[in-house]
Amino acid sequence: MSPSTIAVTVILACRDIGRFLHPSVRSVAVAIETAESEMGVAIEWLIAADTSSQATADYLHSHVPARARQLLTCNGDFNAVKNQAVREAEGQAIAVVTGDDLVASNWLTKSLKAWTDRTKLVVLHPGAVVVFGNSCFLFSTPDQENPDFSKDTLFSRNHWPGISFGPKEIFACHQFIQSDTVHGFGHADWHWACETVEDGVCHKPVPGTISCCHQRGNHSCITPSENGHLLMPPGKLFQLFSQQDQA
Amino acid sequence: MKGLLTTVKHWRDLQLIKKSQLFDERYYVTHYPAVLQSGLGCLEHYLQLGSAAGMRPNAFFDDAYYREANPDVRVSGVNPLVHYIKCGAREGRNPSRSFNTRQYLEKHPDVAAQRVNPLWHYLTYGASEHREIDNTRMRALSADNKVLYEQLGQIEPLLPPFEDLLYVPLDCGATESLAGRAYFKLAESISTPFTHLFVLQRLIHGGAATLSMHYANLVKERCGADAAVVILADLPDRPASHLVPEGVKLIALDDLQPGLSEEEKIQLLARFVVESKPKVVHNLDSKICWETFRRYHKQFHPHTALIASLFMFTYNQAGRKAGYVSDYLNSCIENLDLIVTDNHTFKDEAARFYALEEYNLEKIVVVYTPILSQFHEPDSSGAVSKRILWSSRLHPDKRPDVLVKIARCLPDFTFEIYGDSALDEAEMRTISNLKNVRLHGPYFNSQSLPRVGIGAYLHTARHEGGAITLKEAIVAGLPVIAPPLGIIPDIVGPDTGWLVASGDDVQAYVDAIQECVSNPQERLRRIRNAQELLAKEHSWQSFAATVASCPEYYLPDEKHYNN
Repeated sequence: MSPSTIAVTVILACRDIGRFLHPSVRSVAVAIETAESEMGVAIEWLIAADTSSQATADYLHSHVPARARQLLTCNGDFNAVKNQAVREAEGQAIAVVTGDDLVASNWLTKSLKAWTDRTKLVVLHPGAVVVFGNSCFLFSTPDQENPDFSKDTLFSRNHWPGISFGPKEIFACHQFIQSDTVHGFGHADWHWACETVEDGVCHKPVPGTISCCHQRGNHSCITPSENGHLLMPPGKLFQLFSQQDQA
Repeated sequence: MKGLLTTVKHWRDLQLIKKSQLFDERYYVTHYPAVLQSGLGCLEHYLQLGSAAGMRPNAFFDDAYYREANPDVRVSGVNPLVHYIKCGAREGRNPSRSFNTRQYLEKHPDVAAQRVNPLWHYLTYGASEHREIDNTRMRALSADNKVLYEQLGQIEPLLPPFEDLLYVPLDCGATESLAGRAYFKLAESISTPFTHLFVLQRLIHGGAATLSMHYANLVKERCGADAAVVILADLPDRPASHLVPEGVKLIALDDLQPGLSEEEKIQLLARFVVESKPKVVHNLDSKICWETFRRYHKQFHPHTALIASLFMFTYNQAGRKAGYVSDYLNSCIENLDLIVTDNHTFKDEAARFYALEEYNLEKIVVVYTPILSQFHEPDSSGAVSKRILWSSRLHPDKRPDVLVKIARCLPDFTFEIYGDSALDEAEMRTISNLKNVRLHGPYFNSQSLPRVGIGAYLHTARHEGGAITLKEAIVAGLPVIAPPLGIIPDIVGPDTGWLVASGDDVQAYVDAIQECVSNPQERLRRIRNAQELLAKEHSWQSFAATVASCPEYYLPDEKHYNN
């Protein structure tokens, strides 16, 4: 595939969960096939994994479809490899799916259709999200263009799942922060949402699509309180204070 | 006549809204705190000013939206909420984008059967029952989505049955973040860079407020007023706000945004520190700040030094250690950079009680609270006076029981008692029934206490920190009689006053009082020695030098800023 013909690069960013990635891989494979057949577009698939265990390496070696190009690192950071995948992506748009999450078969198709105004800085998310695992519930992703939407609320929680679709330049300009649990910083997706909102990117749901977010252990895609004592690192949206030099 | 009609209409609207229970006063105040300064009641404000300005009477009623969606209402000039109560709900009009009147009634036939206002039902019962308010859930749970979900269920059998999924309206426009709003207001109110953040529980008269403001003053003196910011994190009370150095910003989180929960305040303070990166956060006495330190110390280091003030162990009614020292010292000291206290007794006791390692013990620094009052010559008439001064809060911690016993043992002495009371009626009656006790009630400051014609200053307590009232008595030229608690042994000894062996030893107090007033020469010698000690070790200069010698406090040696 030449770069100019690739409409979308799907980045499946993998946590170190071995064969438990499989449902995620299968759902992405279906979504890609559906979009290619219905939209007649070329889609690139990158699997970005920071493999710290043999189990994940073995799974990726044996069970991932051949068409998926694998980008493997051993940096111990899931977001760094996601950023590297963005740099290597050849599609005009990028769709990010977090390994362990599931996307509906029509996710890419509907996102491509919704991405009509390609001059607008928009990131699309599945319209409905099912959280399962530690807790089970369903929510609709908010539309930033809703007059009732207030960015104040981003102080308390991330509204949008990590599953996102948007023009490559947005992902290229806004890298995902690397985890720094030593210093208590996390919530890369939330941070990314805040950074993009502050830079004028509009987050919108794609109606009629659904995704499933697997909540394991203390990993959460929604609220800070579910993620121990991690804080979102400083960022543009909340960095409103200038620091004074101290002699 | 027209004015009268308007008044009557206004009164009727007011009664109608009150009766409808659709005006959420808490919501109104938390969203529009300036209303409290308007001189109008909340509902009055909403009717007279708020509605026209787009202020909402509750989270799900949007006046601006209602006017926009209903041109007839806009043209008529009627208040949108009044219209909704009178006929809008019945006509199926929506109070906001977030609430669909018809769909609420269709989805919940039990509500329709009750013939109650659907929005009232939702606010009163429906929200807590997780009832749906529009068709978002229907969209999320549409038949098409169900098909997609079942396809995913074939891939991941752990997905719960579609019908069992609880819908959480996270996307609802009316949901909000009070902490987020407070954060942006905080950012607006602090426009200049600062280096030192002081966090207090509240700012009421007392030793904590006085000491806090000494630190703020020191930062102002060395780095300029802009360098210091004072946050009242737990409560908005600030009767002692006049103590805040001029130019130093004082902000109460509760004033910034009423209705903040403790958790929201912790998140707010944590974000504020992480984003503003002050050199120092000094927790004077705030529980919110202690909790923030406990959770988020990793994120604050290395940009920010975490400093706390602790003065003494306190005890609950069962006699067990309680309070900040017990709650936080042992669990937080590892992550603190410095603990400032005002007495060696506390440091020694903490070291023993928690078996603190040398490196942790080094973090506890004793900084004597400076005495800024003017020193007075001892009053010669007091040398033979049988008037004894006692000043503090009448609280069980101050051992009023011991005071009463002393007074009973010395019927020919008069005890002048100053301070407000936290005792119950029976306890107060016991004190006031004593013929040789005169209760004077609260006092404004130590300068307002008598110093002429007083034989001695008596100090009783269960536990003690910096004993500021005792130090003020010495400055006033009085001899002091006190137990060996907190800082007292550092100041009071055989050459500087009368140190009784134990706070329970009534006879020791009695003997000390009698010895003090029966030997004018010795009394004078000890007063002068005590004053000399305070002037040397408890001055502003010694305070400033000690604080500045702590590198964790990031203070330049001398003034270091441009006016």
